Amino acid sequence: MSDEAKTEGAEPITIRVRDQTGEETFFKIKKSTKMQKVFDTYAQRKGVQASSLRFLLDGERIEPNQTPKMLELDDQDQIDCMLEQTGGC
Amino acid sequence: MSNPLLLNYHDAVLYQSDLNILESPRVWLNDACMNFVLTRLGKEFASRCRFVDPSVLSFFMHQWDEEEDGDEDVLGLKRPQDDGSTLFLFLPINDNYVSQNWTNPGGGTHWSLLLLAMEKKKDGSQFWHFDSSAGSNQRAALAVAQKIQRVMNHHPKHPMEECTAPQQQNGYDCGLHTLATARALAMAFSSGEENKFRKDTLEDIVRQTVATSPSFFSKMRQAMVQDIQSLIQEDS
Repeated sequence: MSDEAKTEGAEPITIRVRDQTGEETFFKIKKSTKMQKVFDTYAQRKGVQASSLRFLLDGERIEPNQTPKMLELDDQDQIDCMLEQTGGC
Repeated sequence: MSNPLLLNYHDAVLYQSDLNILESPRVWLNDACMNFVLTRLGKEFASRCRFVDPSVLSFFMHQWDEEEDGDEDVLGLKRPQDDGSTLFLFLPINDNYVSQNWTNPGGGTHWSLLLLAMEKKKDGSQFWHFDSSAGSNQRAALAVAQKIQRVMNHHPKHPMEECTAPQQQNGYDCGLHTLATARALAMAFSSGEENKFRKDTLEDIVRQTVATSPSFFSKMRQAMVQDIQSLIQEDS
């Protein structure tokens, strides 16, 4: 195994989270970190509950247990944050 | 306040706060509850039906740009059935898709169901709208239908037909109407080989299955809670 392959996952990458207004927030994380951590931190920064946010990559849901490596995210890649919607009447 | 993540069912994620919604008889359903049931239906009726996640549809309406993102087929519009049969796409409509205030969490007031019968030969495709509060979501549903038609490059004379749907008797059950309607139609589509459906046939199917009595919907909420609890147990 080459050195490069061994260190993959340890090298941090920057992920851009774009909200529905187009505003971007940057996160530096390891490729092996679960996305749940990004979701929770993002919610904290925005002052909302993590349960009111949904994250998409190219229009597909990101699961909290997935990692950037599993999602094949590269440095500076962008994910979208969608907000809870509701209805009743 | 702690709000643990309870369940991840094929990417339909439910928190304690989502379960609390279903446990209450009168709380409005959010997109997480809607998506959970739609994902369940997607597993049950996989052969001819596809169910769209409301947050993906919101993305399609607010962020997705045909010029820039045309290659990303987020709704699966370029994936008709291989064998030439009709594919039924279930689109949960929220008035938030066309609202000015869509950037606030918890936005939206009303759910309804837009059904797309997608044909390989696209000029055969049709759109039907079922709304438990007739007229309320017409603008949002039409906006979704028209954007899809632009993407498909299909411009029918009638972009969408409004169907006569059972009407809700209260100010909180539209999400359940939407889900019950989706289930009734999916069952009918999956039980036969039939490809072509007329508007009045669809209306009959829904009328025969979706009751308007309060007990029908409170039982539905209870059944959803039980379903979620048993999935959580299987999971652990």
